[in-house]
Amino acid sequence: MNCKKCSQEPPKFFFRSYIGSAATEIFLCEDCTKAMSGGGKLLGFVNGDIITESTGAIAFSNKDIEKAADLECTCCGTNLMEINNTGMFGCEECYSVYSDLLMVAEAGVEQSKKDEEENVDKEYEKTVPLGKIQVLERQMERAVGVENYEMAAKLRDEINSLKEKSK
Amino acid sequence: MKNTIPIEALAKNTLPTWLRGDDNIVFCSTVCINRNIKGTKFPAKSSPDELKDICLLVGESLSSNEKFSDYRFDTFKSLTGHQRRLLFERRISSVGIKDENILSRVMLFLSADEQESILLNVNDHLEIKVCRPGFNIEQCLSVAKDLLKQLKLDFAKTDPFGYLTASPAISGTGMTAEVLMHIPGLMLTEEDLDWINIAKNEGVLPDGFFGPGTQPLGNTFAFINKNTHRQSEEDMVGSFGRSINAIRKLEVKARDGMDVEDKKDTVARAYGTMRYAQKIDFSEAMSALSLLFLGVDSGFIQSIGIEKLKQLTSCIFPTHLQNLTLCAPDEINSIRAKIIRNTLSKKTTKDKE
Repeated sequence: MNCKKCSQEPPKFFFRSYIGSAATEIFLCEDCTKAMSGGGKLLGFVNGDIITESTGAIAFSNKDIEKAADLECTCCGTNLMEINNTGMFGCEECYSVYSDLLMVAEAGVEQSKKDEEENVDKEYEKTVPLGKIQVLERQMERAVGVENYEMAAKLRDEINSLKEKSK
Repeated sequence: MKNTIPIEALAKNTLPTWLRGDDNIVFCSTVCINRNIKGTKFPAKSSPDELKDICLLVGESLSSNEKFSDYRFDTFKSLTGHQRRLLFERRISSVGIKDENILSRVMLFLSADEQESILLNVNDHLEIKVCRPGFNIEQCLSVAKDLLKQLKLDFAKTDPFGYLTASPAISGTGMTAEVLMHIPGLMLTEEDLDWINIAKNEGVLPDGFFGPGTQPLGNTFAFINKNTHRQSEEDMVGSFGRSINAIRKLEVKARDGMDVEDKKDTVARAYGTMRYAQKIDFSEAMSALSLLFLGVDSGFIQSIGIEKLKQLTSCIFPTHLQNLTLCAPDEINSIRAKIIRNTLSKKTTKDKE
């Protein structure tokens, strides 16, 4: 088994992140870990090597952060950058303020998992307040942001197909 | 309810909960439920007065209820570093409590038998932890839910997120379940990545001995299920239980499948190291003890009983050792080796050849 990113070096770190109930995990080599960590800390171990403590269990893409840069909780003042660094909300109101992003994040992970299982169940959209094409467009941007081009291409094809149908 | 937890006395005189059971694979089960008081900011964003109010609110609720009469409490800032490390080694406090800002606001309520604890103002207002020896997740959940009910507090909750926690990853039920599993069979048969993949497929992931961000010790891992969404606590505990049973079966199969002579040799080498080493560090001692547990379980070692082995395990933890012997930090490894030699040299019956 080699590093998921470069496929060349043996893995040294195991990265796990939780969004809602879904966990995404990858094994990375040392260089790719440094490149991807962007100042955050990773969690886990491979064959007994400890990894440093995780700072957060939720991560938004850089595009999410750019788009919602001005968003701030009216009750406690927590902004998206802070959430991305700490993985923590500041109060109940944060859940309302960031609910759209949370739901898209959950839907995105759910969709990826379901695509992997080749199960084309669109139940997830019932929990998403945004339109279906908009959800898929956000997911596509997130996939591009984390360089998952295979997923981005699948999503692009699905968006085009939906747009064709709606004409 | 009394002020001041007699931590040093507990560490000297009683085994930690994880060593009190008879199960030689699942040492203990823990359920942790996180809650926040409705209408109040989460601890990281609260003012000192708001945090104090939370402590008073929960304190009043506990002290007015007979059920909590044997509980004792302390603020973390009044505890010494030595006492906090003892709590950590006994798996009562979480690994992240090193930050001075967090330490200054955290309060601990602990039952007399150490099996139930309520931590206030870590990441959430309340972190209720119930631990039982052996595989007892359902009982842990039942007790934890009863504790919550007894507190009679109004918790932050909303649709569709459920109970709201500072970390959105555990919102929903706000509950995490954990078992501490001793799996020398799986580790010795060198199928470690295979069993990690199997565990993942079952929906649980292994973490270190003290939880996320720590190392496994003595072939012992904490298996944690953080799946807090879209199912009730009972369903979650049920599926987690099935997953743990699946891993337990793998461990039994691995132990039974080991070549007997190889197993004896591995155990004998560990026994030899422990019996004669002049210095031994904590990690090596835990690894060797794991093999001695395996040896006792397999019947290869009869000169030391399981209870004695548990007492030995408890006292070799670094801070426990210092608590017991008052030794200096640079003497720890020698003192540890001496205690182990003395314990193992007291034979009761003949060793099985």
